[in-house]
Amino acid sequence: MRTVTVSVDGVAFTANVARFARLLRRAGLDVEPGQTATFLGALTLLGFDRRGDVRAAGRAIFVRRREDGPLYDAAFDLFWRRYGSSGDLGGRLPRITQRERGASGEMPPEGPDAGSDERVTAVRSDSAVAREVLRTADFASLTAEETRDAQRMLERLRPRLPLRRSRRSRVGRAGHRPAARSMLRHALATGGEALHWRWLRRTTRPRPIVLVCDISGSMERYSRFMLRFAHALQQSGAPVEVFVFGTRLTRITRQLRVRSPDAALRRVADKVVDWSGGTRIGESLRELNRRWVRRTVRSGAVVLLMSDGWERGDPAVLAREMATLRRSCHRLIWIDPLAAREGFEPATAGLRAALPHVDEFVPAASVASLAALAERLGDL
Amino acid sequence: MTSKGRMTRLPDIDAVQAAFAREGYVADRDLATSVFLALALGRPLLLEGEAGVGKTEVARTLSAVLGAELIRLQCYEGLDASTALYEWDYPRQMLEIRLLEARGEARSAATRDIFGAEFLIRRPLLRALESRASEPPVLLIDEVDRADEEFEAFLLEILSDFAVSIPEIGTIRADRPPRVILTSNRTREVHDALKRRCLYHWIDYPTPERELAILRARLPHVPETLAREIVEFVQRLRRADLTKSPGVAETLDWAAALVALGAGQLDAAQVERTLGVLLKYQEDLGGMRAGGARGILEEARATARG
Repeated sequence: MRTVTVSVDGVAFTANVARFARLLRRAGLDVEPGQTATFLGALTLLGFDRRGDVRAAGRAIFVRRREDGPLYDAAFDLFWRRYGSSGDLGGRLPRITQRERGASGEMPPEGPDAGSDERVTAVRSDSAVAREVLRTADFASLTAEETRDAQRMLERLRPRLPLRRSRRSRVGRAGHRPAARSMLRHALATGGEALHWRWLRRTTRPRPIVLVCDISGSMERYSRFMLRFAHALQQSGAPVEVFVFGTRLTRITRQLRVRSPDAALRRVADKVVDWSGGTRIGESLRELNRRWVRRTVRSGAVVLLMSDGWERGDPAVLAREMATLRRSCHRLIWIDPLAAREGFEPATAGLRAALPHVDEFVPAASVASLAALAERLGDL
Repeated sequence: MTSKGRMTRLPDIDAVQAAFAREGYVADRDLATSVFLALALGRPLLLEGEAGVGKTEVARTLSAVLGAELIRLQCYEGLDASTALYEWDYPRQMLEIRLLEARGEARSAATRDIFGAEFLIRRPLLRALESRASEPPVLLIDEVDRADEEFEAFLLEILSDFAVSIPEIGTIRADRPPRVILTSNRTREVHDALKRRCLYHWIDYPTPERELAILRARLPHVPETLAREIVEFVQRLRRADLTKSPGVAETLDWAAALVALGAGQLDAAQVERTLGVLLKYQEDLGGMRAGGARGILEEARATARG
């Protein structure tokens, strides 16, 4: 492979790479100056003979998780369409430098397999979901005057976090087994006589909490509070993963990770597309089981599922997925706001299918009941 | 940024791809690019992907290609510095003290006699830093997602300066940093700070052509028709609704199993009996044995022959 550093206008080249990085940032990737510098270094090594290589190099440097891959690919294509001149060859890096310089340099010819490694960019397809109500609710407008106090109260919740035993142990004066290494080490100071007993003590770690919240139409009046509850949990320092679902499952852990609850909820509203639509609990849990459980529920998580059990899909699917989910977590708790009502009967097909697989069924529709739940988490 | 010496053996992406192929690893061009850049830029390479797609094998192959030692650190929860980096051999130190005492030299013995290099137990990370071999070793940090966050922070420190200080001895710095490969099965997200240090590559399940090439490279004695049918079957199986799709490792195991049973081509009874090599979850096995496998087998055979 040839290296073409000499034939490229350094300034324009750098500017283009910086522009590309900016585009990636706008596309939602977490790009830092260091990465851009690394990419520059990589390009001087690789040259631009093959567009596929440039793309792969950028992917190795800018992409840090699999989900970002399609985003990167789309941005890469967009960049080359926008800055490459028109025509079928438009798309190689040198074209950009040409454009910037307004002159044509000695550009390497198209590689033998350039174009063969082009990819169709992944576009989120919604065709699979029938009759899904795709609309993004304006969360700010949902906030009514009288709910404000309740929200403040939720924000101030300081939950007691569930703990689990860690594999790590710590040396101390008391514990469950002797710390031989530490004792011997200290014995060196006293000429080989172990004068003091030292012990290994078990340590604990916070148990991960996975919160899965129904945001379908029937839950509309509650889901906002539940999300604030989720935010409060996260702010308390617990390892929390939060998902919401209506007709599909969305992970909002990252969106919630800001201090202000209002900002967090705005970010969630931007991300979620199926507010107040139908409910497909079974399908959503399936997605959770397949894609997320092994990454987020392991190490004995406590799973809090907030829903009223209005299921539009097949209750048999829901039952199966609940059984799977229960097997892979420490505690599975179903929180139902409607159950707090007088004379409640678990009548919905969804709820009846799910209940046999639940460790605990908790009615919760008020700040007080959520606070009680937060208090009880520590005992799980 | 680049040391000229290490570029000689693998000067470009094609060379990486070819060298890997010679060692029996069929790497696609994107992976070869990532490996090449990791070497050229001196960056650790973080490989993520489902279990059994050949992440660990990349490190093994790289060490073979470079003729470098492979040092492997298997991660698990609770892994700490004393098992990853170094530890003093306390029992031996005790013995040494007793010996000195017996000779009446205990008083005059200095710290360095007891805290000398010979009492140091070198764990993988220290061995990788200390290596004075002509070819810097390949350090494989396997399944980093299994270690806990505390260890990640510690790892980050090592990977940033490739140096470690041992209070009794001093700072040990790598002459030439080892080539680092990290793998993750993604049971949890690796911390961003660590990812920032690394180049990242997601290894996907291979395409049918590549999987066939891998099968041929690894198990040349598998009959041609059988190999083709195996690949078509596994590829279809991955598209089915499974808790855990079979990886390439499973494909290879299955092929070996079928050859051992003397199969020349796939037949329904044999597939059913050996399905446990491919599928490791009871739900998946149940579904496939209940008839799912038969349909897939028909299709696979048709494609493999057509």
